[in-house]
Amino acid sequence: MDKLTSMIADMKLVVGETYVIHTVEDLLVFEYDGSADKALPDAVVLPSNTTEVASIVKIALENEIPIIARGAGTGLSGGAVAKGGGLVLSLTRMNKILEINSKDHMAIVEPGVVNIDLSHSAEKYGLYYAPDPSSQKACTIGGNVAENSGGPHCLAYGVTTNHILGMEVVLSDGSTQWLGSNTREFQGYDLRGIMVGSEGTLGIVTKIAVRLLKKPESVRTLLAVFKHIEQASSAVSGIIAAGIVPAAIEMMDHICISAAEAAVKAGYPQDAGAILLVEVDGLTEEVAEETEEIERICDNYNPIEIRKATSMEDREKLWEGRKGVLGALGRLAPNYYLVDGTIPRTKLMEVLSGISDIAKKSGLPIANLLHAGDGNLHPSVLYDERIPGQTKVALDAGAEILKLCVDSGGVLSGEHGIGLEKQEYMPLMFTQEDMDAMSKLKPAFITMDMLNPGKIFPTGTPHVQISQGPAVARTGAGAYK
Amino acid sequence: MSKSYTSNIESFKQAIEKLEYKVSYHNLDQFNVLGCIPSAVITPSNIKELSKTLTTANEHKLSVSPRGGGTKLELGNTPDSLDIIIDMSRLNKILNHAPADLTATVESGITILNLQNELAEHGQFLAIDPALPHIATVGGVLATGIAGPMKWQHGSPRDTVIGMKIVSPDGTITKSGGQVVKNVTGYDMSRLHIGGLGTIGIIAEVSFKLTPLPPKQLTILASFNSNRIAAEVALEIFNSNLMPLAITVFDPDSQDRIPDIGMNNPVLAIKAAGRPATIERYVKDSTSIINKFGSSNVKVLDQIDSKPLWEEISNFGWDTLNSEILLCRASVLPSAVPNLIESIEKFEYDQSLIGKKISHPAYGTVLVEWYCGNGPLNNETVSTILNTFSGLIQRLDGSLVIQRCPRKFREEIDVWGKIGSSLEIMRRLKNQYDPNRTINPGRFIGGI
Ligand SMILES: Cc1cc2nc3c(=O)[nH]c(=O)nc-3n(C[C@H](O)[C@H](O)[C@H](O)COP(=O)(O)OP(=O)(O)OC[C@H]3O[C@@H](n4cnc5c(N)ncnc54)[C@H](O)[C@@H]3O)c2cc1C
Repeated sequence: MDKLTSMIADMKLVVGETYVIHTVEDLLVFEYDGSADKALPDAVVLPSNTTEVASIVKIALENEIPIIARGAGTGLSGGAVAKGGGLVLSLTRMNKILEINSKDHMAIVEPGVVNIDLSHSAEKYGLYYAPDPSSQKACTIGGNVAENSGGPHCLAYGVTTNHILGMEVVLSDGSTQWLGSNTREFQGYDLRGIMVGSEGTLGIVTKIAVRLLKKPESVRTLLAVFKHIEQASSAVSGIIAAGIVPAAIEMMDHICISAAEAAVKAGYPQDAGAILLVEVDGLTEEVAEETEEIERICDNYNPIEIRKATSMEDREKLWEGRKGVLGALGRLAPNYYLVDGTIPRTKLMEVLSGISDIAKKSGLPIANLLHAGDGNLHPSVLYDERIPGQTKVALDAGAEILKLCVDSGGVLSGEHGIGLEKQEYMPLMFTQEDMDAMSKLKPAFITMDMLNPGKIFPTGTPHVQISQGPAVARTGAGAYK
Repeated sequence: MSKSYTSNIESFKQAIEKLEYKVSYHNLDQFNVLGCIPSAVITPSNIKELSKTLTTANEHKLSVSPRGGGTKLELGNTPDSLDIIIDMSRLNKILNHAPADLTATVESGITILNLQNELAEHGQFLAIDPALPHIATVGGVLATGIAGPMKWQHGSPRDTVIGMKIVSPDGTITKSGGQVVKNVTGYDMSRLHIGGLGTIGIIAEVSFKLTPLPPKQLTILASFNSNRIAAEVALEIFNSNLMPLAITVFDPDSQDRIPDIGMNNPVLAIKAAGRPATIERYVKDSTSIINKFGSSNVKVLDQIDSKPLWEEISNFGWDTLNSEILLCRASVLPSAVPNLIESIEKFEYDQSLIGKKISHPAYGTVLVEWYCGNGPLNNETVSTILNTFSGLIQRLDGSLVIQRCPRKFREEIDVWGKIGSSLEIMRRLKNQYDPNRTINPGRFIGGI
């Protein structure tokens, strides 16, 4: 019996026959995540509780096979791809909400719980889980923790790390620890905060204590249509300068608008150059006062039109175009490469004009979708992988955009993580000393480089494969809602 | 003191003198850390000098302790050794403030007040309100991780930091994060340093995300028959639609430093912010909740009138030089606070302890200050009393840290309280980043 076969047999004893996957046909589903990198794992195992995870980790360690934790596989940077093979440890069976403590506004969940399911379950207590990645109907809280995911409403409420109280993790040696606490304060180094955003390289997260927020009593959405993107951008600056931090400020450029229009018939004016979607929530009085002011600010920049909605259905309508836009881009080109840089908000126009130059130079259209409030850009390079050489052109354009972001005082990734996709660009932001300091975390967590090895940090080999099409196909249009 | 040690410090002095930094060998006892007196105080004026100082100290195997405003030196264990104090007070510049981006980057030796004053000119603030802001520095506040009453709404100091520049014990300068508000590029290294009591590296520069100053702010005060009821009302607010900046419970009778607010019984203070109609709503809803719990003694203070009150709430436990203070911070789930307060009161009664308390129920924090001059707390009793106390908190699934402790008791108790198996990870972290135990050796949890 070879090593893999005996390891598979051992794992079957732990989780049962059905939950170890090892035939090539079955493994194909685990070949990629939401990014485009592809690699076939040696095996996939689906444990159902922490004890099983710990046993599996020990078996993997004995067999010296790396472990790649995997949630829903919606990640956009290749975090869940078994580069160079390995054992994929899928946490999707660990999907129980263990406790909702409505008095203390917190919950304890297993990592495989789908993001939106937590908010649905908390709804009856008037609570919700704030971080809302656009993939929230599919992605898992474990994946969110690993990527420190954001979402449109993170402007006012913060990203995943601001909502995690503590977590249980299994380390590479199979030991189980609780990091952080259930309470807001704890002693010692903030291991919980280190774990958030570590992209599955430091430990397997097996339980998570999260904060829940009270559902706001009032929510109002305002959609402002502008002829020029400069006007939309100035309106964003105006809102911030007025001391308002809305729950969300999203922006779409004319390419996104026409794609969205064709797909969902949101009824946007033909000559719209940019759309702003602003959402305010809180006390009824607060929402009224702030929307009034936001409307007044938008009015200063000659909007073609402003629409407002308070009821759930009307708000959904206003969001429809925004939420459907990634899917809609598929109408314009078979593939897109979604970039994720963040820039200082004030550099928006400068960077957008740089992106437009990059588009011209590459000959590929670039659609701009942005979390404008926090300067997180999602320029999407549209291309067709069937045309020889075009993938590389798209990839190069993406790299140039990232470089532009960093040169403007920004960063490589606002919310999607580094993974495989951007690891070679890390030196744009960090010196070798900076990265060495980061790598020192690994021995402290005794990873023995068995957890998601070869990610985040540069390897010196260029990144070639890219196409996020499959993610869209697999997560379905609903994933964007 | 061993001979090799003496020669180390001498050759360090020679090495550092060549560098023409501000070095002082005088009045060293005023720089003592829990009674340990350094051999020199170095005051670097920029990050390069800071780095060079560390490299030199590390090479000479000397131990170093960074010092901000010196307001919270009592936190933590007595140092295992202390040779050099690095006084951060000259690293006090605002390197960049981008009002339109709501971000700022500062050197860590700037005081919180100086920073807030500069930000306020642009209608912004840093959403932390720690003790003694006119003395406490950004670096010190982050290293101790101790936040003020506003933490409930704005989170702990951890939630405001977007990037950092760190000087490692060997002098290497590294950065993490960036100057933008949303960023997941690389590991979130700042987490190691915030609340890490300067045991991993020295925080040299910090980038923050800022918050617009609210258009209007006021404070609603109400008094109740007991601390417990006041805490229950605080939780009722926590569960309502209101999201005030801070909700705090204290007992004015026992507090000599809290300004007179004309109330004697336990008080609930609610700090609300927003535009006029929003503020009105806060007053209306809070009042009706307060009335429902049987109090009709409600008072509203405007921002200026309430300022001294909130300052003293932030300062609680830290604004006295009295070294006979035992300051405890208990953290529990919010719903456990009313019970905890009542248990503490009973405990104090049983033990004949005279104490002051303040609590932030929505955050699950209760702070207790006991005076140990000539009361029942003495070397024989302190560990038993604290064990019983910590048992009481553990039964509520909470944790306890002794933030200030008279020196005479330090042998008897572990100020950091219990921590689980993750202590091993913490030890390995220390070993990774400071293998020679150059900075703040022994000060942190588990003697790290
Ligand atoms: C259409 C679409 C829209 C998206 N919108 C957003 C958005 O708005 N904001 C945003 O931030 N992201 C967004 N994403 C990216 C993605 O959904 C998030 O990164 C998400 O958090 C990934 O969750 P997942 O469960 O799919 O994780 P996976 O993709 O399965 O894994 C992601 C990483 O987490 C690690 N991991 C997973 N589970 C664990 C665990 N239990 N313990 C340790 N490591 C683990 C994996 O090893 C991997 O490195 C979007 C993706 C798509 C396809």
